[in-house]
Amino acid sequence: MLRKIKNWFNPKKTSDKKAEMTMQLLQMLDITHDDELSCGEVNDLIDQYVELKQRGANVESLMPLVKHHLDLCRECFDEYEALMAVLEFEEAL
Amino acid sequence: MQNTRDNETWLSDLRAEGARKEAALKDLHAILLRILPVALSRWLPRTSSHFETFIEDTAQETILRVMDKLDSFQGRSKFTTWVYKIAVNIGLGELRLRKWKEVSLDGLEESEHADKMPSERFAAEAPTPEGTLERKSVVEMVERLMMEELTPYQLKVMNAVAVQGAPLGVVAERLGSNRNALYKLIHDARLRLKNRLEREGFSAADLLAVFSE
Repeated sequence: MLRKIKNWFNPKKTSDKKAEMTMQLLQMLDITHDDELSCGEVNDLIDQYVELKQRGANVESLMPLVKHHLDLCRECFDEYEALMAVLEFEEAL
Repeated sequence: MQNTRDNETWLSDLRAEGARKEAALKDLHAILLRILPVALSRWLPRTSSHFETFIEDTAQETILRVMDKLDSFQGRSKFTTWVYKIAVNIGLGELRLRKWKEVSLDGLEESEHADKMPSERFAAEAPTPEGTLERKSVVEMVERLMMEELTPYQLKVMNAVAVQGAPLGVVAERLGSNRNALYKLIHDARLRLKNRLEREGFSAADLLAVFSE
């Protein structure tokens, strides 16, 4: 475990890479809230969310905690994007 | 394509027996074969050698999951959207596992698989010499706070997921955990770091400004 921790600060990493990693972390900290939904809770709501979005509703204000989670969680965001792609595809048929 | 059922009809047809149920399952299967290539197009090119097999397997797995969870459908969306949600979750989950199958968790620190967070919005320009020094100080301070505030397990997971971009589900699978538990662990770690920064007299936004100058 100690080795793994040391790897985090591996001096071989370029300063650019470390700076980029630090920025990514700080961006997440900047939008971290005390209360956040879990991936499971977002998954429960995401079908509702995409349908509202598809209808042009202001989902950011209607379901702000879902939006917030999507800003932080790449996997849930990918699933949201995939669902939106399907709804848009169906609408175009 | 027989996507003319309303929610109640889908539920009653899938709960029926015999030909009525078979027809609904057949229609659901056809719908999934139609939408899955669209849903997964960014992650699974149509030219992929296992494209058709993967789509078919995902459709089959989705139908099994849908039938298993039918009673949990609450009607807050169209039934088909609920089914798509399940299909996307299964399909993307499997694609992530395959993509990261050969990547050692121990080696994630140097991985080139890192993706950007969707919220990423700060472009780093070439810094001035003074800016370089400031950035170095911020990087060192954040590293120090992580070492002081996070448990080794939090540090390992944060490093893999939050910084290097390994998918949460992949790391969860390796650690014998699940996405919810790891999200909570990372959330706790973020809160600890954020609170510690504040105790040190900084905000994340203050420090980010150093990188955008």
